[in-house]
Amino acid sequence: MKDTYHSDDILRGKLQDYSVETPLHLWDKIDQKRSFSYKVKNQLKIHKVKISLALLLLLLLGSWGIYHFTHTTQYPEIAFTPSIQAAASQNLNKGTSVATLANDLQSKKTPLTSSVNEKSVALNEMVTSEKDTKKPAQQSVTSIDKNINVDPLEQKNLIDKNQNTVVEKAPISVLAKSDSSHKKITKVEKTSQKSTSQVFNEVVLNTEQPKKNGFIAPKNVLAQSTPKPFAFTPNSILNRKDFVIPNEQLSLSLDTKTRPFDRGCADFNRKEKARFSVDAFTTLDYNTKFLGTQNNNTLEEPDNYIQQRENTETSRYGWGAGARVSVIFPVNVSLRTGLFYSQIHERFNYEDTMANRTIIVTVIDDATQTESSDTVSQAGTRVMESFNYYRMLDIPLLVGYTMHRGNMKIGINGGVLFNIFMKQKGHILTTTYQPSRINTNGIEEATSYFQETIGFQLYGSLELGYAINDRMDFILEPNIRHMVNSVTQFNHPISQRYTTYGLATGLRFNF
Amino acid sequence: MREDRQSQQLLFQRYAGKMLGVCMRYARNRQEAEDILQDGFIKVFDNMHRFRFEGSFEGWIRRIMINTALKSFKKKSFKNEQIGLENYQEDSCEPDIYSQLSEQELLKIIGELPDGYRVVFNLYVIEGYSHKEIGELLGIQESTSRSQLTKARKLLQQKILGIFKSAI
Repeated sequence: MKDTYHSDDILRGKLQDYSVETPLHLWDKIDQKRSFSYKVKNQLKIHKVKISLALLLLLLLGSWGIYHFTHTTQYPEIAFTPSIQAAASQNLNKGTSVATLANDLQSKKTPLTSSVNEKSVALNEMVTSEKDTKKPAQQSVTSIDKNINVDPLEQKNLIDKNQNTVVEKAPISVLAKSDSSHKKITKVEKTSQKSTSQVFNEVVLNTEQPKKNGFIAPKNVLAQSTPKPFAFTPNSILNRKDFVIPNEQLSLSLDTKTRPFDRGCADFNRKEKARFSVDAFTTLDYNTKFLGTQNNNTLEEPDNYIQQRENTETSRYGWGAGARVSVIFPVNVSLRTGLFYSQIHERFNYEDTMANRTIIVTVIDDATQTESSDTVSQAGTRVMESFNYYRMLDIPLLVGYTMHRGNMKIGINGGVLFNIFMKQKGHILTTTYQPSRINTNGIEEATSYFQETIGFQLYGSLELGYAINDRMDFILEPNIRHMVNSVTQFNHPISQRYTTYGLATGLRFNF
Repeated sequence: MREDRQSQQLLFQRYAGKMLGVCMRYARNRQEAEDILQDGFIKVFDNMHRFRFEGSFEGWIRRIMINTALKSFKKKSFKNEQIGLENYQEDSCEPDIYSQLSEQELLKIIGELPDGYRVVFNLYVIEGYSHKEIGELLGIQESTSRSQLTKARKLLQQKILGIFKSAI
């Protein structure tokens, strides 16, 4: 029921839309207070969801980039002959090393299989090449095994001791077809890795003579070649995860005498072991705080309290440091754990324009020389400024995936940080809008608001590395950490969480 | 618009005068009103993205200014204010007497009211809030709001009558 007074209407009419002269001088103060960094922070706060999504997208793109980065070379489908197991057995009988693609090809279901069975004339060419690329390449066809009527792909590296060079022998499978315009091998791309062998990456049949690094196959072979270009790609095959060599063949073919010592060559018997590395790093952080109401909120005006907290507490840059041990599996997946210490910094600014303080004044009576005390109440503005610290020690448990090319490394990490303890120091406003200390183990009201441990944080990072030498990498790791749980107690009406955007730099020691 | 300095300045020029009038009703003096206005406009610019275009933009700014003004006062200041109203005389005051006063004079008289009375008076009489809404806004009982308004009216009448008596 609203009381009505005629005077109210008069007052409302006069004062409701009362306007005074625009105080233009205030604009400068407002503009000054809303500095560039203030605006940036505000924009970050406004767009926190979008920024988080963008960073997530960046992480995804980064991981896709890693994958693409390492799988850019797409080799043409390899021509092959069917009945590989039979061929392999023949080759084994002859004591030659054979790597069969039976499993691989069967799994790929290459449509050429059946037709090749019927029409192909199998030729086994061993093309050799000199290792030293600085010298003019000496290419020759060293052997043609025409007795083998099917042509399994095989790779074999031999040492030509007489010439003191490493010679790689590789078969060229040529599939005969009636219409053949491609007669000569004109292009051979060789990888220039540091290995001691040459690898044929691609052999394309064409009518032209080879120009550079060309390998000439015998004309009687090429005359029957397939019109489709084909490639001989030992490494690409060998790198396939689904490329399985039957053990019985390996035991026969890769004996110790003919087995290559070249690291670049495939060594089917060798099993890669997990490696270890230790990281030492520091991170520079920017923290964003999220205050919200909890389920058991008992405040009448939680929004007011949140607003006051936001007004009095300003995020500052934080930092962290840590060490972690990584177990890197052969598939480039790594598990990381260690210790991570971090600090969140905030500034607490409080101003009470209506504060009153009581001063005890000692009064000395000159006449009697007696002392007496008096209390004086003084009104004024109370200003408080302090720096708040939230210190945390966490155990990271991360899964990473790292790729490398040359000296550069790129990878992603994700996982959780299990909190061991959290300690805080500084001041905040209590729910009664009074400033209070929050120091851990303190006795003031706000101290009891905070938890001793905060559960776990989610962690995601993009890892960039540069190999300084064989043992040491420089790492740069933009990362995001998000608190799942509040740093405040469950019975406190307000939840307080942080999302941290960090840039970590450090060194990795590989063992 | 959110961080466009020129647009913000235009917006300030357009609404600052009227909003300063609002702030002056809640503040004790012009300086305090300007402080409230300044904080209020910072909040307006910070929270521009929250305006949903569902109501009047001026109304939205006005509400922010009022909230800023309310937050600048302590809750306890409303609860603990003790004014010896018992000493005031219960003189009647004709409504027309308010018409004879200018806006500046009215603001000056309202500004002289204690914080709690002034805020409740403004919220109820000028802004049109109910006692229940005022109680929720200020975190006080509805009955407290009601009694503070009554006391504010009495005090205001006393002050106006005092002005006229001294003029006569």
